[in-house]
Amino acid sequence: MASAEPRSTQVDPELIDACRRGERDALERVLRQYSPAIERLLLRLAGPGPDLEDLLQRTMMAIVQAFPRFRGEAAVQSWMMRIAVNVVRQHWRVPEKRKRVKLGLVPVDDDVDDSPGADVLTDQRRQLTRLFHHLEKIGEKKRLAFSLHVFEGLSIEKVAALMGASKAATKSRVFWARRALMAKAKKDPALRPLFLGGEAQ
Amino acid sequence: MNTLSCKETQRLLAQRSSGLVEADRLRVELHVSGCDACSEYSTALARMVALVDGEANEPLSARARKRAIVGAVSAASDSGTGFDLGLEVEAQPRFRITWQLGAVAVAAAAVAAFFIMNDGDDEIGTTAAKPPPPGIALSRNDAPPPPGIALSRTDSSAKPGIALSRNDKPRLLSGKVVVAGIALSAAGSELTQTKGVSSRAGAELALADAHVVLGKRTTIDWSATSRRLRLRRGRVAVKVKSSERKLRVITPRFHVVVIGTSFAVTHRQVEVYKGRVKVLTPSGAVLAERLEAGSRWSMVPVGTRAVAPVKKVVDTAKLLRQARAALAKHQVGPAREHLKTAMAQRLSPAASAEAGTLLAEAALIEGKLAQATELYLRVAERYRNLSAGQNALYAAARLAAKRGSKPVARKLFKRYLERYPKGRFRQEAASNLVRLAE
Repeated sequence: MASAEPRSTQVDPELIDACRRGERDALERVLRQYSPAIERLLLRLAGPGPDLEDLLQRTMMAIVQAFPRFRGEAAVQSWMMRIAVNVVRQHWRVPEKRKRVKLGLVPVDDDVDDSPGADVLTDQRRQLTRLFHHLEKIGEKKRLAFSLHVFEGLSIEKVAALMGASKAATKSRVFWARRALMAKAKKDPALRPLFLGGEAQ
Repeated sequence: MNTLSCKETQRLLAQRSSGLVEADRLRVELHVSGCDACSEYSTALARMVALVDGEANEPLSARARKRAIVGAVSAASDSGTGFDLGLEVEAQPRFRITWQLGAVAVAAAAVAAFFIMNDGDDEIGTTAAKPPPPGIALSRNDAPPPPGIALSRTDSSAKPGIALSRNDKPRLLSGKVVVAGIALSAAGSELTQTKGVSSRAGAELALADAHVVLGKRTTIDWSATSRRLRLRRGRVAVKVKSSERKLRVITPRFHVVVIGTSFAVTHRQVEVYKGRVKVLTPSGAVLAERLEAGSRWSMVPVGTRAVAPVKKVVDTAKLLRQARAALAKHQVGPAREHLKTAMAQRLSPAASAEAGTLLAEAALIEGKLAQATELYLRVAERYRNLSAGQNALYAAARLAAKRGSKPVARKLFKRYLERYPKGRFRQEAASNLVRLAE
């Protein structure tokens, strides 16, 4: 499931040069190409919610601003992912009260959604909210290592490189986060269906 | 066949299955199918991943995405080319100022606290500190004494910073001892007499810098001045720090001179766990010059001359553990070495079956499927009454199916079902048989 990483050589070098020079069209083209992957990463790290668009925009801004210093040594996507990870970490560090008020995950018009599967989707959204709620209680580094390894499917080595940590430290972080999350999830009635005996949604 | 521990299995499960090599996947599958806890864990984790990847985790609309891209590019263009964010995102100015003020305030508070605390404690040279974890830093000046250990202040000529030192009077740490007809059981009690200290059910003592564990029905004499511990009967285990004055354990037939180590002594035997010791006759002749960690020295029966057969104790359980750990890291060579050493010893049937299974796994990791099948079958036939035999038969059948040799796989699955009609893999074996018949 690990995202394929196109090497920087696969992107037109002239396009990258144009991005370095800050040409608007080139930047838009590159960002449009990589935005689905970045967004997927942000979704897996931060979960759904009103902050997602904000996070994506901040990541894009950071990418645009850092482009003049992009040397092309790493794959463009890896470089962008690293920026996204830093943006998310920065976001997690902001105290909760300074973040936007969470409006909830279920849009109002879902109340009248009587399409088949709407109930299941609502349940899943509730479970997802609870899952990210428990993840928020885990320390930043552990949570990040866990999400990148388990949800994003990156290898321990890649996670370690992304986080600037050793392999052993990353392994340990994933282990403790996994353990903490499982313990919390097991006690949560909303997440019981995820465990055996409960019915999968 | 459950050579993977639950911990290792769960670590491997955390990687998405596409990140696992074939051998690991098979091992994980086998473990999970026989372990309820890991099975539950695996299901929960897979469902969590599916939830995060599912449609409930709604991505942004195309419009929102476009808005984000255009907004970012416009904002960057409007702000000129002074791009200086790098990998960091700029903090809000207000936040930055608040943070700086906060840092100054914290630093000022810390300086003030330092002066206030030093003011009151200068005379005894201690500062407030957290209690140490048990067993650590007994002589540190800044730590309050752990329960049962007395701290005494040294004379005024002592260097600042080591004003408090541990009282090295012999003490009872745990258990119950009888000394001169008086029973002591309170942890921390001082032993006023150290001759004839006996323990019926075992006890722990602190004797100078040595930590001594008395075995059942053990009696010792301790002399602090000569640092000699006489073992009258029973067994003692001693852990001692390296020190200029060597501790000596005396038995009627030999003396053990300690050179910074932990070891156990009976009247017939010395076993060294760490460091090294020297064994002497009571008259001072050397019986064993250097008894290293992991070695055991025994007296020959009474009446014959004492010799020092230094025999290396081979811990086969440890070797198997090491082999398993090496295999978990796919280090086949070291794993084979451990297994070879272990198999050269006399092994219990269970240990032998495990060693055989590990050998099969080593072959599996190397991709030698035919050899792995053969090794599994060997375990399956030799230890058919053990669960390892049952697991090995199922593994062999699975491997045969994986290799595409359907008749062999069918035969093995049938054999499994005949031999273990209530076996743990009966359902999997039956469904595999049906699949192979198709």
